[in-house]
Amino acid sequence: MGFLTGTCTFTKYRIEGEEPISFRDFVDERLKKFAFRELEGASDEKTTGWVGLGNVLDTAFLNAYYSVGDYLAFSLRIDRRSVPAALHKKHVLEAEEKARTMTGRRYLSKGEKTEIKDRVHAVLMSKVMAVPSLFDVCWCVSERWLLLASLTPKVREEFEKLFKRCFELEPVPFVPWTARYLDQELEAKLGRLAPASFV
Amino acid sequence: MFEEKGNISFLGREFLTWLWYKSEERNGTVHLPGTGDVFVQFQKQIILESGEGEYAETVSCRGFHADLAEGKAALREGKKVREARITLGIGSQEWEFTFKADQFQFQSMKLPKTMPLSEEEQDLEPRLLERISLVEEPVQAMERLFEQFLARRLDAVWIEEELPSLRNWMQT
Repeated sequence: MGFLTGTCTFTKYRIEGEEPISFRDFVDERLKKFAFRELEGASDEKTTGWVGLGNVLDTAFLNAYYSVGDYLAFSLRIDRRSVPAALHKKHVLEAEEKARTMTGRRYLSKGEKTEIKDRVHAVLMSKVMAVPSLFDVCWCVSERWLLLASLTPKVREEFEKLFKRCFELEPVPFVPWTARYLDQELEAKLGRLAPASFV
Repeated sequence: MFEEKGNISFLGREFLTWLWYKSEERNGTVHLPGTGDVFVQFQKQIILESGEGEYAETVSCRGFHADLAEGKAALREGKKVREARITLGIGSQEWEFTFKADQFQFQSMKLPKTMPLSEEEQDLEPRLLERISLVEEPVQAMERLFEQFLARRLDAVWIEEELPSLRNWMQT
């Protein structure tokens, strides 16, 4: 569910910080620098980066087509791979059985078991395919707000980390009673407020 | 359960509960300064809660035949609305979304039906611009409704008029 089709689910952010001069050039350079790259190491469980809006394969950002009117629109791609617990357990049991047969011992030490677990995990991870997911981002530059098409805390955390690192600006989830959005008088009044009893 | 000093996140649930009451005060019509009347209707999908974390007690009213009277009974037990499916009408357009009060979030928002796009307009740019403006409108309306709630919540009118009316409505 992104912004182009279907229903929309999103978190609103305010963007804080100083935008550099030649902001559009800066964005172009940074989007390309932090574009999605395929998982490289055999043991990497997750990787994140930007891609073209709703396009899982587009990491080139040619012709600045992410710039739509007053908005910047692109997607966050997160690839994750994981070994199902049941599969890992089965292969660990097999490897332990093999180790006992080879050593002729009935029991393995704690260290040997840990080593087998880690080795099996690494072997299986190198065979597992990463699963991609996309989350649309729509950034209204002039009004300094942004919508991320997700409410999931883990996705939001990944987005906030990458956005901050990439654009050197801070995305702050917009909640209208947060102190930073209130003037001092209102903030002082709210600070004295206690929950109302409706009963 | 009392909130920590300075933690005012309870305002989200108070706002959504107030909005439910407000939506029924004038048969779904709520006046929004600067915009005029907007239409607000709570659908039969509402979650109420009291307390937080392991002390939370939740009541969920869902389904086409769910009776919001159960929701009102939960209000009378001291619960407040944590999330609700809302229909919001502005002018001739209508949106439907689930509003999550604790973090002021919108989920599964159905946008108003628009005219079918011509072949040219099916390009990314016009389609995105149209849909984003349709997303912005209800978000801004909900923000202004919150401002309206907050102004009343911080004024003497809250104790003198708003709270007694809300309590009367809860009994209906």
